Amino acid sequence: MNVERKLESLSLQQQQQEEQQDESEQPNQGVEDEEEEEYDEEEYEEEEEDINFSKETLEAAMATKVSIEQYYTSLFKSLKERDDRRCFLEKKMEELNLREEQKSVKRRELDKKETEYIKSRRIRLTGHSFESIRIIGRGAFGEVRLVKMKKNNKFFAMKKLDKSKMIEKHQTIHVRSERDILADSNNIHGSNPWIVSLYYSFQDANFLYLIMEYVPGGDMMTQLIKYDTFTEDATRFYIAETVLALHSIHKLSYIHRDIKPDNLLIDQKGHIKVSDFGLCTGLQTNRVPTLAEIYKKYEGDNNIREEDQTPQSRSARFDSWKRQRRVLAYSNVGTPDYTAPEVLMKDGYSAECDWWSVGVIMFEMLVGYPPFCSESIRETYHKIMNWKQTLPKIMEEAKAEVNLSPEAQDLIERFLTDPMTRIGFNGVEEIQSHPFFKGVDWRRLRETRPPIIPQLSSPTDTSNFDHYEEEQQPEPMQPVQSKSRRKITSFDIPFIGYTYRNFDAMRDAFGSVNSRDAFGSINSREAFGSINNRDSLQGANM
Amino acid sequence: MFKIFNSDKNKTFKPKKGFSKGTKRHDLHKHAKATLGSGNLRLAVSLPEREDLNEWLAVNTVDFFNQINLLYGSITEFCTPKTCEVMSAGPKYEYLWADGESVKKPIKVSAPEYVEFLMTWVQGILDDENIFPSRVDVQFPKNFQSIVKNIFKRLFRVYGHIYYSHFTKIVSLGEEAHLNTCFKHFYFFIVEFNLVDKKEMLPLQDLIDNLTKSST
Repeated sequence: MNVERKLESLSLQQQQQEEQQDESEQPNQGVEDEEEEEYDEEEYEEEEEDINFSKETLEAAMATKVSIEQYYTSLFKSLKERDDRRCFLEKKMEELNLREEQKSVKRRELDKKETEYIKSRRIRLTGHSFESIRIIGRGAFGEVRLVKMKKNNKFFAMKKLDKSKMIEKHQTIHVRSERDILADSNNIHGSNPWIVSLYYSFQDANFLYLIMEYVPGGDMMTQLIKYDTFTEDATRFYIAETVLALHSIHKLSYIHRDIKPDNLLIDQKGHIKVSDFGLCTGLQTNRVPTLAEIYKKYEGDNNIREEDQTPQSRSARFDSWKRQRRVLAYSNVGTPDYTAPEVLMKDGYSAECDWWSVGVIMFEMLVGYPPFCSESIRETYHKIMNWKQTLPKIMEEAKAEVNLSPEAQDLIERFLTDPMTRIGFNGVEEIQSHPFFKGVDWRRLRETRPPIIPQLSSPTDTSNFDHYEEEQQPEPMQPVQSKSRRKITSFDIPFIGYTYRNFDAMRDAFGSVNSRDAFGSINSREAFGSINNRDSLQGANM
Repeated sequence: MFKIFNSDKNKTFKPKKGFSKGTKRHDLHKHAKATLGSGNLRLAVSLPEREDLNEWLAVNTVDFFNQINLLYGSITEFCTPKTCEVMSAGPKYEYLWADGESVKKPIKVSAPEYVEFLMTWVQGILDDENIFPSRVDVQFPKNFQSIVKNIFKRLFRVYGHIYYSHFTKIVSLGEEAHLNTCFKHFYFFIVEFNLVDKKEMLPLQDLIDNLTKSST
């Protein structure tokens, strides 16, 4: 392609030269014509000599090129997806032997959604399209809110990210990663049930917005704080679900790289959904060596070894972790507790790094804290990097204090090992066939009754989330500028192509008469607390 | 309700007389060939099976408007009242601005002023919920297609101006393939739904012939 374009460019130059020759051979046709000719020629030469473009022009051209390339990629993709949906419907109706009248009804339903979908593509969403209900999360670059879409009264989680902070911290690739994988996880068969659904993404001058499915059960970190530890049965369920969730992500050619309890959400029926793909990297995303760089400063430290010798009782370690965990979850720095050692080094790594994280979570569920937790990040880092020496001792201490079955211990140790001998390296089936998962019905796992079912009093129940004080925004409330033509600047270049519409979001969108509750059909007996959750975890507390 | 000014008496298209021949500066774009090669644009413009025609026209109008806005936005440094005293597509065609509302009688303005008027006018129509409705329970107006035709006719002039007056800058900025692809897509859409009269497209006829030789 590049060679082709270059040849075209050369060809154009040759044609210019030929025309010049033609020009000089022609006789003068009169005073008036001669004057006009000279003027044009002069102007042309002047243009040719002008090589310098202003910075604004170069940036505008770059933005234009990226936007147009993005547009055509998206255009052909969406046309193909539309055709795929139509063919899929026809095939399905044929398999089901529907009568012609029934087929007509189904076709009309699909047609209606397709029309609403292309309509939504030309409608500009803004922050003002949603009514804020409550903050349910806050991070370094922004916050997550429960919101209601004004046009259809549906509830969503809105993640709002500050562009200037992202650029300042070189985080633009991360936010792009998140949008890309969430968009990729939707296909002809609907959304991936293991991943939080993305419905819309858009931006304005200052912020990026991700409009996602609201997952009302909170996250696994909150549950672990509440229950301290899980039984092996409960752990088996959650680890099995996490394994299937990660497998579905790996099949998309993505690696999550940030699996930890606060990124495992619990839906209204108690099943797991994975969220937060900011560190996610895939075949089409540039690699981000952020974690290796962040922790590089700890490489040379050797003083930590003596400190490691200090024995720490389980209760002290337990209390220390409980004290730290919320602070760590909301800090910019985070913690390497769940990160595989190969990710902390500059060596290459692959999907297996996510299985290490699963092993850490499994240990935490059964023992009460992650294996390498310490009083400082530096100490944690060293324990992970020297896992061959530190882990055996940690496992011995854990076994002395907690009743670990041989299968549980073996699985943890097979997760927490070298990448190439790590369980899962040879495929997810390797994990699924481990004796710890004996009795797990992998195909029907999502229909299995979970150990914990959230008790929800309403669609806007946020009791499973921490409470956040509303901050007074210092920025003045800008008048609605959504309808003005705004020039693209270099500030916008990292965010070009961010806008996204999910086809399935069209189900009840934009004033459709058949508006349903955000939860769809609810099994109210399960959803509204007729069951004593604590009973199912009677053996959980030591 | 928006009223489209329609009288022939004040038509804004004005062929310039007495022109004998183009010069090399004006003719460079006629040899343009490079495109992004991303897919079959002829098929991309077709109305999808059982899709609502007005909805398809609407979403594509918005897309083409955005593209032209981007392309023109990258050469505003060079399209000034001094360099482009009148909105022109080469020496033979000049355009006067009139929208039938705030400017009823066509006026002669510089190219950047014309484009600003035009883009603001189009944006106003796109934002008008009575013409381009965003809710599914609001119908398109009966004259929707004639409004779309008027938009396309005028957007075409921006391409005409860019190709005739600023093509070398587009090439230097590495945007030739992008410009050609967008224009080609725009042209195929126009032909598919008969949105612009042939005579309005004469300024770029050579370019069109050249770009549409290939099957995509």
